[in-house]
Amino acid sequence: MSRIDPEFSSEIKKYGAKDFSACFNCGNCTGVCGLTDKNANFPRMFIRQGMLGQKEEILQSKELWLCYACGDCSETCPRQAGPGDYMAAMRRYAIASYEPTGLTKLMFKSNPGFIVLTFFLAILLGFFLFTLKPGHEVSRWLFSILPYAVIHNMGLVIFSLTGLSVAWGVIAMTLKLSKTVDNNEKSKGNWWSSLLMVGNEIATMNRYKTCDEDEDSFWKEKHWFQQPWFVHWSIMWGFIGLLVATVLDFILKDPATQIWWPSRILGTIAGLLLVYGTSLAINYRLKKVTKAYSETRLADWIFLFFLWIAGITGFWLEVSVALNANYLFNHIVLLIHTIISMELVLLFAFSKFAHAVYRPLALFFYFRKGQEAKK
Amino acid sequence: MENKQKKERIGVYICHCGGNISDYVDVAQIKDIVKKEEGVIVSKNVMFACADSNQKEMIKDIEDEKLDAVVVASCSPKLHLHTFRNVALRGGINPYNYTQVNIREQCSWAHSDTPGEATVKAAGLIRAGIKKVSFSEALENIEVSSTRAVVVIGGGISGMRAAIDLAKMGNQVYLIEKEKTLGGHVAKWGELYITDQTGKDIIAALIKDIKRLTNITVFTLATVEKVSGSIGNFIVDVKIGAEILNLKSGAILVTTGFDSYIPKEGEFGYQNYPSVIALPEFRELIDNSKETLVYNNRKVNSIAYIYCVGMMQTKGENKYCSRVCCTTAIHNSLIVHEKFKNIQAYHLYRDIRTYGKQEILYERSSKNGDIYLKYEEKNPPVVENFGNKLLIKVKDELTKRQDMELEADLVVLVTGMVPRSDSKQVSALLKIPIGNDRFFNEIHPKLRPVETVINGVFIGGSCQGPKNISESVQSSLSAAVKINALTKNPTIFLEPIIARINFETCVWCGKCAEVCEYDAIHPLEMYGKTIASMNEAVCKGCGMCAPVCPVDAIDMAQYSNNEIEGMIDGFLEKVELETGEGTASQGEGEEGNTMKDMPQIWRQLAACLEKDSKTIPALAKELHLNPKLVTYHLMTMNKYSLVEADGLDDSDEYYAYKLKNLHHVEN
Amino acid sequence: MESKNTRPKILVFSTDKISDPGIDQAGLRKIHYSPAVYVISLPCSSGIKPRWILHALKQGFDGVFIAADGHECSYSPKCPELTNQIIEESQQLMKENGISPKRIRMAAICSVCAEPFASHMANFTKILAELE
Repeated sequence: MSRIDPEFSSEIKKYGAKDFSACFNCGNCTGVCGLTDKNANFPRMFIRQGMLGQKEEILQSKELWLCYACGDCSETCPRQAGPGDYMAAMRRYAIASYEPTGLTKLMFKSNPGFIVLTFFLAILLGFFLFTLKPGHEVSRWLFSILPYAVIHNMGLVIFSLTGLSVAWGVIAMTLKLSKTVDNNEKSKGNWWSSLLMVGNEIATMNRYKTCDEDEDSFWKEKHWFQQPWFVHWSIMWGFIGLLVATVLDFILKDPATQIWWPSRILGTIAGLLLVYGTSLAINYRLKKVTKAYSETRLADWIFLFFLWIAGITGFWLEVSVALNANYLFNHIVLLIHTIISMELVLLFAFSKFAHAVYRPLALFFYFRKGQEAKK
Repeated sequence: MENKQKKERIGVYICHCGGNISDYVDVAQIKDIVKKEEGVIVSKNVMFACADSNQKEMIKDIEDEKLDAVVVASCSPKLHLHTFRNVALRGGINPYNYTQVNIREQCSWAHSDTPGEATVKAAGLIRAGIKKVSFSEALENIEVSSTRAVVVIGGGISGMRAAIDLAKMGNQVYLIEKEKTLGGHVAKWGELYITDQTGKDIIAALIKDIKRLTNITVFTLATVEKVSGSIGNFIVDVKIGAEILNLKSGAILVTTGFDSYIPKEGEFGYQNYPSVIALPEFRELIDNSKETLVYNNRKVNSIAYIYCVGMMQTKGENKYCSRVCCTTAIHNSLIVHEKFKNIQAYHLYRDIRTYGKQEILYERSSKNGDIYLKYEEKNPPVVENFGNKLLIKVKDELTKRQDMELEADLVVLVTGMVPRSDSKQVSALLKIPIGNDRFFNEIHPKLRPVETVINGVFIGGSCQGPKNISESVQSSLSAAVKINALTKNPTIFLEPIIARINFETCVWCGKCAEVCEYDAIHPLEMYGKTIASMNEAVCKGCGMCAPVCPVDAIDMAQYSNNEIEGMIDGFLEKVELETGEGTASQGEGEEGNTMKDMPQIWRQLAACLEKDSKTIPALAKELHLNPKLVTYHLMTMNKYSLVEADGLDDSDEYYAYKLKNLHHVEN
Repeated sequence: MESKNTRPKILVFSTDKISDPGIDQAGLRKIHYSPAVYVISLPCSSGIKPRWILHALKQGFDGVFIAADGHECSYSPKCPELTNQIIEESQQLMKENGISPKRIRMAAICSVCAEPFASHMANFTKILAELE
């Protein structure tokens, strides 16, 4: 027995769900979606659950994360109820719910809150960075108030907060998702092969490709390197590549000036991919090429924009270092690059970025369930 | 039963139907077989029996050969029975001494796979037709004088609207209403869908119109006690208080309307919980409330509407969908949303049927955030007490059949239309048949939707079945026009195909009167004994009384024992076909494909088209004819598949025509 | 020709407003049935006299089929009941004359029941052929 909660509709509206109450449950959205199957029934059921206020059912679902927001459902919807945007809104709701601090809620529900928080963090990080360079003017008066150790520790605390929040979110989600699996039948799917399937999806984006290959899809006629799956793939692998390169640099303890070092080469390629992907994504959203790209929330803009800035400034710095151009302007670029990159990491758990952990996790559950069904 | 002697000068016309018949049936042979039949004077093959030229030829034959009966073997009587009855009449023969034999739909087409046997069957069918016509009697239409007055029973919106039109068309109208005031259900309603006018306003305007028309007499607090007489001359006894008036009328319009279904005690908590109310009560509540919706001294913040209450019962007595209730409930919910704000609505439905323009209401309601839950008949919602609210439990079909529960301050049972509690009495008074749904039945829902099997009695509005206001008024106005077509003539002609009683053999057992649905048969003292007498204006000619007569004293006109048994004999007579092949004329060289029997102008046109296709202006020029005349004939030839369009000409202005199915033309 | 003569002859009673148009429809759509089927159309199936049925069977028809209106009959809701009575009475007469009661059949044929009519004829033809 589940109690209907009509108030929930107004709650999810704050996450960007707009016209879903027009839905009359025809199920065209589910029918047209290439990613739905016997084990994955969306978006119709989500709209239903949202209308009736079935929060638990929503948080316990893996299906939410199987959707790549191609927008086919929104194009097909006879009532213009926007099921695609609705799914995105529900993912925001889920991210905000898994994460314990409430920061995500603030950022998704209130644009001013988001902006203030981003600026506040940028300023905080700015100070933090200056203090790392003893001898710098600004740090003096600061040190007289706050000792270096305090700030350093605070930095550690903030980073650990992100890490903890991510961990918490992942655990929260795992617990919720295992509920639905266990409720029905003992999950006996091979977890190792499921994991491989998740890896395969991350590497190839095969499921995402099916979205673009749909019969009358706008993208079918376009080149593969213009298609959304590849845009997504570039951004994702660009970011992962850069992260690996940074870590390698850090391990090698030598911010290598030699460009042919493997970690530098990796960084360059990854950076190119990231800039390519984000540029295309921003372009598509500006031009609103399809319905899926026409609804962009502030959180999406900031996320994309930050990635793009991080990529562009990264290259600028690369070139500056190669030319040994030690000017004030390049110092500012370095500062921006560092602040943006750190914000991306810091806000990881509290932003759209978090889908990077939630989606693979959900896919893992989906594949396990799927294998079980096949038996 | 006059002119009992058999017909002796019969003309038989066997139609090719331009190949439709002659491609499969050897019409030429049949013509020869038929010629040898007893009483047959003329036996002819014709290309198109219905063609004007042939009709003229038939009339000439009737006159020249002094024919006394005619048979046309062609298409189904549904198409041309009346055409040829008229031909017979024009030739001076009684139209009922004409018989149509169906050798197309029920022979050449049905047996196009076996042409030889089709020919044998056609011969049998035609012989049966000849036998039937030889026994046929001349019949005269029954003439009835008519009073130019109409009684309208039921003063709701349907009756009022029809009364106004009938009066304007020149009829004296008696509008009879059981209640104190006119207007019925509509008079109680507020704002209505589409126009936003209130029911009260609409009725007030109609009352004004009625008052202006001097030839409408309104009787309120009046009931119909008895109806006697028949079409043209009904006498309706109306009781007003202690007084009884006898109203003479030519026709009767029944617009007695509907009752709202009243839920049974305990049906979804009705009468168990005060906050469970039916749709009409709810309508009254919202019409009478201002600013806030208060029920039972408590402010209403949420409403659950339960649909199909008492309707669409697979096992109960109301199996039908009342179809107006979905729209009414949703419309009410929209009014509530606008008038009172912030009231959450839940709709527990089985199927939403806001058909036509009303669909927009459903869309608006769901956009308002109304929650729709679909339940199945076998899992109806359960209403329980929950503090000072109600708790409704429902298995929602749209959410994986989950058990859901919701709180509501008010439960509205969306009830539909049921027949009026007194509809049985009305039916008994007027002999209107009642359908399975217990509403009044028309003759045919599509072809004769406002007439009843009782001549002169019409139905309109929701006494016929659930209807919304527009549909009710549409049907009653259509009945008004039908009635006026009837009453505007001082004399009404009725078909003479009715049952007749043989006074000699009748011994009055009363069985015929018992089965008669229309009360047409009554005992009569005559020739020193009691016999059955038939009211000719009332008899519908169904023939139901004939088989029940123990002494076989009843015969239907046109379906007497002689006629039917003669037909049976005709079917069975042996047919000797000359050619062993038995195949019909197929294509070239045969009569069927020549234009010998065609009108001169057709032959001219066909000759012109023989070499290549031509446009109408070109043909007109070539033959020195009026283009209009060419158009007319070419279109007719096209209808009979003699010519067909051959695309536009070079100027893209006219269609060119070419010959079809015709291989050569004989001038 | 010889073999064709062995088709059982069926007399059909149809009704002017409903079942006869249904039978017409079969022809219109060239849905074939046995050419040994002959149709007499009446206003209502409740007006068929048992003596006609007996006459037909005695004179050489192998079977009689009543294409009734069933509950669609516009004359009376009693129509199916009365038609049934007629069939019972006819069967009584047939029994007295040594004719199998299987030679009479009834079904409701609607105004668009072309296929059902053809399949009824095919079935009845088969049954009658087996009776011989």
